[in-house]
Amino acid sequence: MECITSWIREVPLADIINSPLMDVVTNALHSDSSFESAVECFTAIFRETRDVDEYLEAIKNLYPRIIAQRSRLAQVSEEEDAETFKGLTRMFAEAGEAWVVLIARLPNDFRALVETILECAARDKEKDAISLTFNFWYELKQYITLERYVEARAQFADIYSKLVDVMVSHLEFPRPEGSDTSDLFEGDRDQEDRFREFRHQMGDVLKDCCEVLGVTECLRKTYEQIEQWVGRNGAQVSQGQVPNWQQLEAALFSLRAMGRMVPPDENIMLPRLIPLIVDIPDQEKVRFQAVMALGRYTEWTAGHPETLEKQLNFIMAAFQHPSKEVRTAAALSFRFFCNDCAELLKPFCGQLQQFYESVINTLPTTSQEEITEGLGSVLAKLPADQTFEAFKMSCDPVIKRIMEMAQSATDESSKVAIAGECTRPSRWTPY
Amino acid sequence: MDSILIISDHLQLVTIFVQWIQPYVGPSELNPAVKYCQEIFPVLSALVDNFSNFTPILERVCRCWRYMVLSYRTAAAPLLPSLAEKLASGFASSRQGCFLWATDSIVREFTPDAPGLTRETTEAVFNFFQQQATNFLRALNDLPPEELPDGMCHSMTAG
Repeated sequence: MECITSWIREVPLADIINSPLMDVVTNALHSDSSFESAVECFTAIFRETRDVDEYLEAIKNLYPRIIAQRSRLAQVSEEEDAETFKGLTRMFAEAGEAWVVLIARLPNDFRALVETILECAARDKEKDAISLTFNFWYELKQYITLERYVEARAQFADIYSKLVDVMVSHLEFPRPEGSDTSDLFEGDRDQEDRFREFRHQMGDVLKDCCEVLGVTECLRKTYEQIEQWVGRNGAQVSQGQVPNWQQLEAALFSLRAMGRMVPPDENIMLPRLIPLIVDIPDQEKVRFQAVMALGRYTEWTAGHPETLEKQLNFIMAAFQHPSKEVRTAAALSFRFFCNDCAELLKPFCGQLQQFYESVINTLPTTSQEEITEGLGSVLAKLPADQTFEAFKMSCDPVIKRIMEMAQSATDESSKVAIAGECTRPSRWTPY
Repeated sequence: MDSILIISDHLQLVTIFVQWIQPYVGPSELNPAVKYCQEIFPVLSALVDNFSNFTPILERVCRCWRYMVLSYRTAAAPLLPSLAEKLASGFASSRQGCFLWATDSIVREFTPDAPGLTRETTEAVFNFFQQQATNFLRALNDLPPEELPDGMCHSMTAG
């Protein structure tokens, strides 16, 4: 196999593909010992056929050979043969990437390949192989969102729609089987880090889906997922117990991930989604995601002031949440709300200042800075004749704490020892 | 020490307010944000006096002063006399580069061709700069150059 792979660069490709060697390579996919190198050989051939007009005949020969492998996906996935599943996924995805222009030109002829790559993504329970398909979805999106491939876009809409479902299902946090349901990754921190990184990559695929399907359609799917969750689980929610929260959290993550694609004048789905989110039940990860998702849509909120109050109350309540993650998320979202809705919040400066003062000392440094950025941006909108009072009211407590701390630092004997005579308490008389 | 950290962190918060709050006022009126900066100026000065060995505090105070000048530009003129005095004495006693870094913002904003400046102000800025440059060159005699990176930058851009 390796020998044939190395020839690909030296020998005209048509000579290899039209020779009996091609059957040898195809059969090698069925033997454990040669599978990996056969996949390697196929992917090397696909890369050589990127100039699809020149290699059209070769592609016609190769296409049925790989499509014939599709039927193995179900079996391999049942047997949990991760390596073979990954190899097959890689082969299909590489073929898709190499021939992507042709797929956009002839969507009917190549539909089976696109469906196969979707099947790879859907069957990948362990999330080991799915990332191999990400680039294909991006490349295909790049072509089919062009005006000249509008037909392919229509043809593949159902596939991208299923892709949204597949992605959202993979976004779900694991469901631990043991008695300890608090540690979702059963102590495997590497796996947890990988999962977090991976979610953001899947978020990028969801953005691709938005471009193909349109934002409203993708938001509709999220809305339906949340509705479905409420229908199935809403009645069983009790204090601290949120059944099947993973599904709800994944839907919220997808909403957050798609935020960048949604224009501020989306008037079909967001007016229905936002009220759902502010009523979401309290579970740490769900609450975190809800707070982050709302923070992503603050530009939209600036154009829909009737939704602002409920959202802001939800965010401000999250500052009291027992989870530190939720509180820091709340600070970040608070900043976005203030920055983007400063004009709307201007009349409520007094309340915001009180709120600021009540939470500032409960937060870590970064969050303190974030809510200060938020309040500052609202104060910046005030007319000049109100600036002095507002600046003073917000900043005086901060200055007061600086003075108290300076006093206590000068009182500490260690400080005196370090800093010597400069720090005599009697000199701390700024006013 | 906790209190030192809290002071440093809170100074950053004051700076964030200064960065955001930039009201529009006519050239002849006192900018209300500058008025507030004047009010808190003694606190910042006292920190410099009392914590002259604590670089994080000196740097954060200087950063706050720097942004007062960057945010309000020539409207910060009422702050100049006391600010120039503190930057000069602060550098003379601590030889910390952050004082020169804050000096740099003043020299940049208060150039002779900046609109609405009186001759007295530009002259005062020139005298202040001359004094800082003299202090800096004296310090340069005593210190190895790697301890004065801001000073080097400052003397190259302003000089």
